[in-house]
Amino acid sequence: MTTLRALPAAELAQRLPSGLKLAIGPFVVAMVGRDPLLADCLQAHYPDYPLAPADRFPDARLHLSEQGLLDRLLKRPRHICLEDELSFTNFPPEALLAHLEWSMNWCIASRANWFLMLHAAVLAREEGAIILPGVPGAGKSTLSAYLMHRGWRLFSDEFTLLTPRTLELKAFPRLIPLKNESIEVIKSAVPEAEFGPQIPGTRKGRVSHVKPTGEHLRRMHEGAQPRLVVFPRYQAGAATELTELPKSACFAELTQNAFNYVLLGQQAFEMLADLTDRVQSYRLVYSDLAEANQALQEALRAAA
Amino acid sequence: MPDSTTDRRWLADSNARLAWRHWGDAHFAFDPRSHQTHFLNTLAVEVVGLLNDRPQTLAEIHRALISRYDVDDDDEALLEAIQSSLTVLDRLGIVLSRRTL
Repeated sequence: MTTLRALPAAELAQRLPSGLKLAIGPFVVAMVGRDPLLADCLQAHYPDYPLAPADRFPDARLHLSEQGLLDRLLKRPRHICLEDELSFTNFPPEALLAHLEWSMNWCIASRANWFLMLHAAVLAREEGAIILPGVPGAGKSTLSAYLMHRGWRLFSDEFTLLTPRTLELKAFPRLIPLKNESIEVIKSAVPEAEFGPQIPGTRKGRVSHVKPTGEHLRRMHEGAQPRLVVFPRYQAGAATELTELPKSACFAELTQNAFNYVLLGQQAFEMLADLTDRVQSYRLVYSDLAEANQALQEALRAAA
Repeated sequence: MPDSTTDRRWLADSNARLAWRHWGDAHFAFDPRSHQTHFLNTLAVEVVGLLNDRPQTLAEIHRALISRYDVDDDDEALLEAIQSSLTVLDRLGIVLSRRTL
């Protein structure tokens, strides 16, 4: 499996104008653009992602549009365009990484309807996987960034991909965007974590991305079976508390949590009901990441 | 003036084709026409079950449930709860009603 790291810079620059295809979990994402800004960003932040075969149809096509001399002199914003070649998002050049990731999220969330997609993190150990649904601010990304450095395999910090019939979870490991004070929390708790640049002033505040290590990417085609659904909530100063949740409450919350529940209709209803029957479900209140990890490991062992 | 639930005969909407899941006292019905999921209590599910058998008036539903739950036949609370359930089920499109003459 050839990774982007193995591609010489000259060849990368040659391939990007017509589209460089990366395999990211079950998807193929085409990165397109002549600007060296894109090549630099990919080399810095996506070096361990495998290249997809050139004849694979991309699930997302992200084009960093070109700028003329005048645009650069006037410091006009950069644009990412999707298939329609209209500007999808605009941003200052230093925020390219965040906008590539957000554009990719939009493409997958709006198109990959052969999966049931939950707005939830997924991490796995040998015993199986945990699904961590939560509203923005619940702490999914921070917890995921910690757990992926403590023996858990990262599937995603915000996309749960459930396969119809089997309910197998597919991995979609991406850079994890930490926001504001979560950046310092993970820098302190996980000194070995590899961060991208800090990007100030985004619509979510200050953002910095944590890279999944090569091991998470090498195993991204291995699925897992769900064992636990845990609704996390970070609460400053709170003692770690894992409380079992009735299945009816778990099901009701999951129906509110899927990107494409209404679109998939009865198939989604049946899948979430089957998932609810199959897993143990909990609420997790935490402030200490190590204790949360311990509690999740114990619950996973008990459920396996 | 009679309440709108009392002078009617109620029936389950045969077009609803609901998919059901039950966990304890919590019941969920998926309606493939609207793609909506409804959270129902046990009484509402009992009422739908009775109306699946045949159309019935409020009084008939009340009598059937009095017999099933072995409660007093002047149990006003049960009657009011059935009326409320019918109103909700009607609004959700799960049951229909016809005026009795």
